[in-house]
Amino acid sequence: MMDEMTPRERIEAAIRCEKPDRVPMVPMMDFFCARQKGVTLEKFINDNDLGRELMLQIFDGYGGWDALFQSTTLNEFAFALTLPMRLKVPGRELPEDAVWQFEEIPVLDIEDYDVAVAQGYQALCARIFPRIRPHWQPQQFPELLNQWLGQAVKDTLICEARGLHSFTGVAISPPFDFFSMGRSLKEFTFDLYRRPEKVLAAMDAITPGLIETAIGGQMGMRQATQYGYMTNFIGATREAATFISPKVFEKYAWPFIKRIALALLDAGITPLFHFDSNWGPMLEFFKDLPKGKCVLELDGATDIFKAKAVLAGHMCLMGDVPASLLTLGTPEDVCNYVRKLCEVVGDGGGYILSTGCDTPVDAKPENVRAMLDAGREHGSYRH
Amino acid sequence: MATQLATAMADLDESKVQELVQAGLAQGLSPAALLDDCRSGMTLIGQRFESGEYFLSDLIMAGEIFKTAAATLAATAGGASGPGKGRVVLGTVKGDIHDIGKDIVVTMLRGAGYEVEDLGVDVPLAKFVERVQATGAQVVGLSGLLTISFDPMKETVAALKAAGLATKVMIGGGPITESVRAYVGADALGRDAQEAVALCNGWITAPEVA
Repeated sequence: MMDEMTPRERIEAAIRCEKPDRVPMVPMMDFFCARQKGVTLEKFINDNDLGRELMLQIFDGYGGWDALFQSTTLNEFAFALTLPMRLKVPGRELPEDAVWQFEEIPVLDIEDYDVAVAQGYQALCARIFPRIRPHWQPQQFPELLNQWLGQAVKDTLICEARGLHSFTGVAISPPFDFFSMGRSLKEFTFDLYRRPEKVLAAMDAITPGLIETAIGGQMGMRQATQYGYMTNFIGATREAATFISPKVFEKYAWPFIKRIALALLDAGITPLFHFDSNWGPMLEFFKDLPKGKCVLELDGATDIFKAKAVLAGHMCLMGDVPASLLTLGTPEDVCNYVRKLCEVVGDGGGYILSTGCDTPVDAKPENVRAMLDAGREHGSYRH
Repeated sequence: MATQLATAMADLDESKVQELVQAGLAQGLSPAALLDDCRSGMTLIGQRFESGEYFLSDLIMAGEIFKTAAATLAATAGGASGPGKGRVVLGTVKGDIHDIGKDIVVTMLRGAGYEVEDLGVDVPLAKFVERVQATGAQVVGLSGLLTISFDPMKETVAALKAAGLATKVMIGGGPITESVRAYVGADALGRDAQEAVALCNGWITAPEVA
């Protein structure tokens, strides 16, 4: 069947909560590509050109979809820009083909809340960098940043040249997640009980810097390429109901998420809430944001069908084929689940089919194929 | 009727718990009785978690308050330790270094009166076998956040069986579902720390009548 819309039109219609010609598909897929092509994860993360080519090979080999989730493979430096945590990487602390893992240890002290208030986000990041990447010299930072930005522009242009958009790229963590990662979940939780006002003041103080980083990065991409990214990635986990109550969320997390989202929208940028863990009790909050302007991406831990009931016609949903289903399920299980997603979450539009967070490195290739085939088969709105 | 100490514990009032523990000791109350009060508070916390009033962050704080109180009581002459309700060995399996969920399960089990040996993260299967043999633990808990933890869990369960250990195995972690439990061959899956406590209670404290 011929498509009536271009991938960009299809995705943009879904974001507006309208009904495209079919459900757009934007699976997140990186390490899986390396594993399928027999390349170690160490090589994959340290050679971005190779990483991009492997992602494109898998894209072609599986019949393609609507946009690459990201066109640049993440590396140790990219994570340092967003996540204030030490990282164990394949080939150094871990075996060459192991998935990287973050270390839940404090890299921020209680005094750093005061630094945030006095000096803001960028100054805080400058303090954090040598603590999370001790093997790099702080003076290397500008050079590493330039390399990374150059790579991002190059990858976006290469993909655009073959008509393939990059769904997202520039990423930030909201203040609650930022400090929870930097302090470690445990210490941050204690801080919320023991010094809530200090935490709140620091979160307030870094928000302008986060917004500036997000908008600056996105605008830089737009200037450097014709299109830039379709959305700006806002990643959060630690302010989900898996961890905190809606009451704590309302006071310590939501005001900042909302402020960041509204600032991005003012700048003409679509916020992509890549929100892992269970957000069920928090779904009502998202109605505070303008209709048809943002994407809420869920990972399987939130009941996406409930999310649809709450946010239908208001916010585009994305997700959420669960990691364990792709790893341990059968193609039939995957197909049934995707069909339900398309029928229920896709009902009336406002839905982008995707994996629940990332495609696991050890997903069964037949399951990934089943997900995409089922999306093509059951995602059509032309009944 | 909950004592003041149990209530302060349940309400996560850190300074009040410390105050009441000190006051209780000064009045000559036995450390064991005070610890029992703290445990009663932990039971209430578990119930509030189950009912949806408390969230994980509250359990983390509860663990911190309980740990400090228990350390104070243990340091007091005579100590507070009596025989536990049972022994549990717990760890995050080989290849995975995530510890948040595991740590909360450890704390809640200790709060419920179990002796828990925490093996940490990235634990090789031989270590689980060795520690179960050494401690005679009735329950082993395997934790993992990544899908790559499924195979090490399966191998650990197989190794425990191969060593002839009749210990019960419970698993838990973000991506753990019933199909993962079946794949791994574990006896049960615990979706949260409270379920882990309930599983141990079922296996150890109130074992099935044969």
